[in-house]
Amino acid sequence: MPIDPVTTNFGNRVIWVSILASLALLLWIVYLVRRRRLSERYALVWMVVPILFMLFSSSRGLLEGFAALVGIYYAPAVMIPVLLVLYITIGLYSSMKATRTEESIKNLTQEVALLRHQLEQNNRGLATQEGGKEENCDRRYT
Amino acid sequence: MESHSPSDIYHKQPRKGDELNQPCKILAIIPAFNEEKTIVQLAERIRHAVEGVDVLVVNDHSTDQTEHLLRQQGINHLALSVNLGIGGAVQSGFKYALAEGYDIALQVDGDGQHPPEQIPALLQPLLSGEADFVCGSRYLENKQNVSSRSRRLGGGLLAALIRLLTGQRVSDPTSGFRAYNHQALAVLGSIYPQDYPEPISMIELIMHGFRLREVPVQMVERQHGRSSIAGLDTLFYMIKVIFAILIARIRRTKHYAY
Repeated sequence: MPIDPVTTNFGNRVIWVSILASLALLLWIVYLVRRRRLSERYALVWMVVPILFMLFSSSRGLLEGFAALVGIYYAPAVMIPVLLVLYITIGLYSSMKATRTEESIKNLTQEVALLRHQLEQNNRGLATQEGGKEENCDRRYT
Repeated sequence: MESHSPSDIYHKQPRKGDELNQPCKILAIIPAFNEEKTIVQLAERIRHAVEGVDVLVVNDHSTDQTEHLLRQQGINHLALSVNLGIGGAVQSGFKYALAEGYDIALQVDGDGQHPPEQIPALLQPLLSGEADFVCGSRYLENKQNVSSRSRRLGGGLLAALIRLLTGQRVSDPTSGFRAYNHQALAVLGSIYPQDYPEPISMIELIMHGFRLREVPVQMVERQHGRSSIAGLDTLFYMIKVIFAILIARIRRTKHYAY
């Protein structure tokens, strides 16, 4: 027989589900930091989400208080805009970081190319000065 | 304000006018990504077509024999260790031109669609001081219709937008056949868009008050390779470029990174 959601008493089930999910996310973040695949700085930003989620899950009063504060009648729905804003902020922040990183890589690549060009020209100049050794020097770079 | 560009390690050379009656130092920048079939021939053609022009090929981390050929033939070039795309590659050439004290730099695409014989026409307005940057236009004298209709429509739309925003009449904003004087290069060395840079850099230079001159040129069908503006990406390209042009129009010059 299917479960009737109206008559069945779910008790505190949803609270435990959300706390478990948040814990899993927290553990994942800690694992990634431990393996050096995520820097501490970003880890802290991402940990805000599960911590907030756990806080609201464990305290009904907090959730309802906050819902009343922003004028949302159905208290659990308050999580939707909160999470949306949080994730969008984190995503935008990541894109900003990516933009800056791309710019740095571009500048570094260009600088390496310019330096290599100059180095090879200096070597060529040295080789010409010393005479006869030019061939040796050229071969090194081919 | 002094430039913070990483190529500061190259000392700034004396500019044009420091020594009287010195001939202009001119650099032809050829961005090349997997152009093994055309690149050597193109470099030679430029060297023969225009006297006194130095050639710099920027090898944008090609995966074919481009680098090998450039070394074998002793062609002056930069080798990028990461593929940067057309914008980053051309900008490397600008930085080189600035560091080596060139008065003028011009861009010739590595796929051979810009005939070297047209370079003198491109340089003329710079040498006479009538303009700060010159763009070769396919449509200026309506000589040619090699472009597809959609490509022309897109170019026309961008041209109309640039005219609306700046009052500058342009006919071929996507043309990559261009020449810049030292002052324009100084700006492009610190700000140059990564991909699809032509229309965006055009409006940025106009916004900086540089004088543009378009000259009619004949372009040939590309010998090898595909246009960087082709296929399903076209719509995204148009939206992105229009957005970038609008932003460039409202950006205050103090937000430029130099």
